[in-house]
Amino acid sequence: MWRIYGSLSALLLGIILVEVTVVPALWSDLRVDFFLGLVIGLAVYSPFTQGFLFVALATLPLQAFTGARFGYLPFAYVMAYFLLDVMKGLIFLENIVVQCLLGFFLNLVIVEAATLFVRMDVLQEGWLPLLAGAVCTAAVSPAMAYAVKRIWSGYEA
Amino acid sequence: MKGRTKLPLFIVTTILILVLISFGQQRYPASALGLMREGYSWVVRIAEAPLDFFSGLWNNYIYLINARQENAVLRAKVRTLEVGTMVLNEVRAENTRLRAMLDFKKAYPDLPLVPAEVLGQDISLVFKTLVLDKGSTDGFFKDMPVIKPEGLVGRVIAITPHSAQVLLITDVNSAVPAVIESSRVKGIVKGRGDGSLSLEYVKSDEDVKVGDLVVSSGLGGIFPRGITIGSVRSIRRPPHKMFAEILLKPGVEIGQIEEVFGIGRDVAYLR
Repeated sequence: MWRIYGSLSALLLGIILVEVTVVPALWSDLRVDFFLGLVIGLAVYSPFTQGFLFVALATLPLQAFTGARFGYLPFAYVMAYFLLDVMKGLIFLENIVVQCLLGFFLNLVIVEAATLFVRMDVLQEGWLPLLAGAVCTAAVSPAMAYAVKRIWSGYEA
Repeated sequence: MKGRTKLPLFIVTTILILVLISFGQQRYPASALGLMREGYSWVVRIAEAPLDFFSGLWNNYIYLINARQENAVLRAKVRTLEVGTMVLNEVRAENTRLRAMLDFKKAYPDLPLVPAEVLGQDISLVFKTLVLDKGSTDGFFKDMPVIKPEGLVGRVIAITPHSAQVLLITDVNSAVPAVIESSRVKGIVKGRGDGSLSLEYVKSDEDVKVGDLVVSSGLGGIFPRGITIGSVRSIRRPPHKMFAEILLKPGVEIGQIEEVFGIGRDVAYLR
């Protein structure tokens, strides 16, 4: 278990590096949510408790790199994890297209939910980077989920 | 895990998070999160070290050996020149930026200006913060104003020994006491989250024109007086409303910030 958590933590460090430094360097207004793909992967491929624990803990280092109110990121991603766990019983979440759609819509929901804490209409004021970010998140979500699957199945084998 | 136990876990987690949010009135519990930023600044430094090493190895050794082989040099020459031009353009752009910063520092020799470079930006689309490569050991401190020669960038909201998190003036949580330079009309400049600013609490009948320069007023004690914030881009005076709706264009191109200055303590006036 610790080796799986170690690999996931390394993946998380890579995600932070890319989200904080690389993506904004490409386009200052673009934000791609790689972590969401990780959450999708954990919800689909890991046992509930282990995945839940990692999602809850992993949101804390992410909180250091945002101006969002403390507690917002755990709130957003833990709720997303619960939602995915419920959906797992209803939809075949291992399908790549489904993971793309989940990445797209959950990204929009998480960004829009952040505006509940502030006075801002993100759809009106920055829809192009929002849409581009959601499309990119949709594209990377299956890849991140696959990485989680490989980590989990690799160590369990 | 059985559905029976998931529901209590869901409820307990939701309550815990809501309690966390409601008690987190101080938005930046710096100590624990600061450790993350501090660690991150070292990760970036360490990640750059091998690149510098291999870059030096290539430039000082391998490339010189290849230089003796004339044919290889001739074939590589065009590509090298292209890369060289690209590098020169980047160096020229950097030189221009640094020269502007140097000129600014020369223009205000008495100001305690501390230069810093940007390591990263906020992971969220909604919030606007920067991570700098300088921290408390370099003279940065919490609430330190951060500027560029073109104007105000923001203020430090969290600090570690080797990194600082800056709340940009375009963030929706940012508020800067300001004054219109020509008419001396006072207001509060707030970020709108989309890269623009609004000047609030200015009465509809006040003397404000498009293009007016807006500078910090010095009220509040965080920002020195006279730092350029931006210029008036549009004004709306809705009937039956007390205050005008004034939008500003920031003086600093927020999306293109690479180097900044922190202003040291006890500075009351910039000009």
